[in-house]
Amino acid sequence: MRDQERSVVREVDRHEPVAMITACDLSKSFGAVRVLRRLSLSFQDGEVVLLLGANGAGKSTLLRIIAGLSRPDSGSVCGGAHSSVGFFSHHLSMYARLTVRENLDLFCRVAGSDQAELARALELWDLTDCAAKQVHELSKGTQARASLARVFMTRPSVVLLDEPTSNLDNKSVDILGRALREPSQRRCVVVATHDIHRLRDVATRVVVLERGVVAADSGLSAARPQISAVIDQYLESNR
Amino acid sequence: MTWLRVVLLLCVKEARVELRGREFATLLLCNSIIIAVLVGAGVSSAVLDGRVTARVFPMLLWLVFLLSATTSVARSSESELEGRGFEGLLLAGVTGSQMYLAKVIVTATLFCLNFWVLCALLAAALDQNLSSVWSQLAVLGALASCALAALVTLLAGIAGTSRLRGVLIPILSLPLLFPVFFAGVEMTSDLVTLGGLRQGSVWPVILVAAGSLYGLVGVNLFESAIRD
Repeated sequence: MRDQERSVVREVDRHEPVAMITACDLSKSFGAVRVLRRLSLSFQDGEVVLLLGANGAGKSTLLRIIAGLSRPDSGSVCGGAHSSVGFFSHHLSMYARLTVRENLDLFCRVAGSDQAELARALELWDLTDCAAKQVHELSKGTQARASLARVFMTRPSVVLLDEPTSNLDNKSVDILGRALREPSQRRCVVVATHDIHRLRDVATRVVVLERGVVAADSGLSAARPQISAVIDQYLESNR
Repeated sequence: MTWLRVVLLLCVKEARVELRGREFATLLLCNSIIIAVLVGAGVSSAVLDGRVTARVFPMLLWLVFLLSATTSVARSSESELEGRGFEGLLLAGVTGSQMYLAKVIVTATLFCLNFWVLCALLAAALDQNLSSVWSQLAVLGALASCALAALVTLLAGIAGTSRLRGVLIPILSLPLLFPVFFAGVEMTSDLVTLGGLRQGSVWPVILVAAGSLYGLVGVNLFESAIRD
């Protein structure tokens, strides 16, 4: 092994996980419905967390609160130092009347990212051919790809994805998988999904929510058998 | 990127979105024309004495202007709600104040253009000659448009996702717009009847003060209003 490679390995070994986002005692209700019940969770850098749970378990609400787009009734969210957040949901968070390129250019500029990232994102997410089309003219799947490009383009330290695969074809899921696998020690990814089979390979941790509380957690940087056990148990209980 | 450059970028985005859809501008103009035609038909110079028409013209102008603006402005937030682009901007580090300022600038520009069209339309319908005071009336319209945009942009943010926002915005804004309405009517009366503003008139100060107050509140509260 060359010296340079050895020093990289030593660097990785020495790296201690850092909490990127810590949610403490979060509670949230919509009218009489209690969605989150004093939920506490911590996400570390380098993690790719699958957030599982039945409809109404509180996955989307938790992600919106972590992103700062929704306020909890009680409890708090503490971000790691200098953490920036990228958030994907079915709302897209883009302007329908702007073209894909105009949207990405806008978000790239306001986030202060390098313009080279824009060209790279268009290519990586297979959007070059539709870059000049307005977002409302695109299919749901292409819209989702454009929104995912927006999220990853600015390289946020916390990536929150709410049902990212719901409109994606297999090719697009492969692109997402590559983006999630891209090694980054200064980033954590939380993916709320029902599409377990297509995303289980990229997960380094699995958390199951049930009626607003954590029902199961494979633990930080869990081994593959532990992750599989939590997923299998979840699938079994939801049969 | 500097704070003002971001505001400028957002202004370009707002203008581009509006130019592509033309929903807000079209609705604003249609509402203005419909209300102006109705008012013009009701208070025709054919049935009223010329002096009476000159006295009611300022009130009618401002009534039509404020009504058409407040009933149309809900449409301006449609583009934000359609894809929730504002959420992406907030996460990218844009502040609510920057978004608010950009929206106020673009909305005020549209209101101002609408005011000038309305002036010409109502002046023709009520047989008023405004050529000698046109420039002063244009400045008055620009000032009032800024104040009006500052208030209704904040209210559009507060009404946000409510299905009743089309009704809520006029209901909430019209009582708060009394200073703008009275200042506009009084100053337009001076311009039409005296050919210039009365010396020592306090109405310009009231108009600027009201606009500044709306703007100050908007800059500070807009982000809280648009977050869930």
